[in-house]
Amino acid sequence: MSRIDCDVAVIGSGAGGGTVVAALAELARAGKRVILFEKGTKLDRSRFNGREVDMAELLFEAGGSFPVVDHSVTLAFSEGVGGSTQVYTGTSLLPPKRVIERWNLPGVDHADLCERAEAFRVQNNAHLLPGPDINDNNRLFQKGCEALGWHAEQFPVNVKGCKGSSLCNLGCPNDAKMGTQQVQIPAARAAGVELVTRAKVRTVRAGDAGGILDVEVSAAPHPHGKIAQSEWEPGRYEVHAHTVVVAGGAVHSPALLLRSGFGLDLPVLGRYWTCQPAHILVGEHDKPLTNAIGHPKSFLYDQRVAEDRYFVEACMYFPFVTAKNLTGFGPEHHRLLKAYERLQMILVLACDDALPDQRVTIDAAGEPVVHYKLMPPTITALCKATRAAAQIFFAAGALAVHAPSARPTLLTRADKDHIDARISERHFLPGSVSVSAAHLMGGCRMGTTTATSVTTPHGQVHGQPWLYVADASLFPTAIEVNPYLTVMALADHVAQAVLARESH
Amino acid sequence: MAAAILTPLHDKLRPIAETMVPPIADLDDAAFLKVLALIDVRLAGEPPALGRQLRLFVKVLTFLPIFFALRTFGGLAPKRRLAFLEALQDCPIQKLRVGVWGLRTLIYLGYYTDPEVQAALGYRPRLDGWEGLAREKAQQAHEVHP
Repeated sequence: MSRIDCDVAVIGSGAGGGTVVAALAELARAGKRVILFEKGTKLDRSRFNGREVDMAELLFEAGGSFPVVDHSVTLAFSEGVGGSTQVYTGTSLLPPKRVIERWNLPGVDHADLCERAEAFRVQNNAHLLPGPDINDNNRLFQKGCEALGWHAEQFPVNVKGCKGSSLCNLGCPNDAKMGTQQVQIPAARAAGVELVTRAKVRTVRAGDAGGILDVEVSAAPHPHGKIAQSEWEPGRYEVHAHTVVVAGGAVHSPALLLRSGFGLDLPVLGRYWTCQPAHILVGEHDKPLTNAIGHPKSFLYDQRVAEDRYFVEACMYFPFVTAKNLTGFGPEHHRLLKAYERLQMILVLACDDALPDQRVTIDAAGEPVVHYKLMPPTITALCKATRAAAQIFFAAGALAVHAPSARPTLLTRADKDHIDARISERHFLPGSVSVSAAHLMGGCRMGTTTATSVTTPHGQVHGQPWLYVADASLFPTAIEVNPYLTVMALADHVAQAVLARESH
Repeated sequence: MAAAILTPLHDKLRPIAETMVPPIADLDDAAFLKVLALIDVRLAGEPPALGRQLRLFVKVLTFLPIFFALRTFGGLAPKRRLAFLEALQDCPIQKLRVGVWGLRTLIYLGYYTDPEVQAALGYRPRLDGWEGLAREKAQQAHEVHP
């Protein structure tokens, strides 16, 4: 095993790790050695062909369908340089004040997080898309909300040179999405931060002057085609770092710390895990609309989030993902897919509670296992969100709406005034209703004591002054908006603590 | 080449797949095997236990109707096949519901990701987005009024 020494090792290159290395660029410029480890590879846009199977296998773990233990929810998270910022839609929403105040963490201040988030909005070119770039699918969402007297908020998206391929979730073929692989990581590398891809950190443990990482650099052929080799020779490395920052995301960060043995001293490690579970709903219109052209997501309705624990957004998905997300099968299911060009789509998301038994553990091989159940309040929130979405569809002129928690699942305009009765929790059967989640949070929650948290409010793992966490796993509860901007703001906040440690 | 996981059960799977996705009935044997081969590729990266569970579940679906209708799944009339699967989809046992959901999702993967099928549904990825759409519209207009 080769030995490598460095000052700071950052594990994971998504919204968290990418932000941290950008903040630590000044250390690299000052001659300190900062290494960014990424389990996946670096992909360029020439690989992004927009095909569902190719991209799902190349960009997502488990093809974007990582199952929780009871199979009631599938999780979508990405690997590769940029992490999930490669496959998000770039929805740039600020952290909600009510959530940050509920966290009640000393040193984690809403105004401070918003200031950092605003700076990333500027850095990532987040802006409101102009009217001509808004497609029919988004316009119908806005129209439906307006007809109901509801406020549909247009939010900024972080794109530059967007051609409107609508392929955000399959990797942008035009490099238009300003994720960490486009903005923060190139800046950090230019300053001297080293990037090592195809490098899996197996464990991390305390050393005499910081942490020791057991890193395995892979040379195995990728099951889905030729990909770039690592910057390091394949093999095992023992990396000694003065400071270690874990930013592998809400599944892999807790798993890494668990297989490294930190669970013995940190009873809540892996626990209080949330994911804002979601459905895709479709409304059928009488004529074709632009849904698979144009940026997929620009509007949300979140006026009920505090009271009813849900929010809904315009969205667009591809035929297989749409087929998967519609409940059922058979002639009616296929008929709806044949209407693909006439489908309006809405994503409904529930704000789930952070509970101790919703958690990440590891299997015998040290790989993550997610124990998550759809709890009654979450199902109620999804049903309320579905009722709201059905109202939006009909108000926008849809002829029919597919509602997973209705039997039969298709609502027609004759059902328009009976939506509350037709959509019911009793029809929501976990396992038969498709629920997916991409907002994965918690597992290494911040707090003030080891009994209730894994890290301090500055992301330092309790009792380990050399070890930090800087990703969505820090969230004590669900953030109740699309999370990437909060992840970046929080990672920047953690990076300041790392800089302070390194400057002493 | 991926290990054959569901392909060997193609005769049992065919009536199930046709019930879940009716146009699969129009596929010839080679085209149906292509659908199953794509599923096998996807399953190749999964733990072997999942393949075993899926094969067992296909057999359960095939033979369970004997207890209710004295016929295997393939021997049922199309409407009764659909009703049988819908009853399992909504049954109180979550593992059975998950099994139906998982199998139908894999069949969707094998069928609805085919670029020709997607084009027939009205979807094809346009990497150049709005520009590509405008170019197509201009071309169509030119064809109508050359």
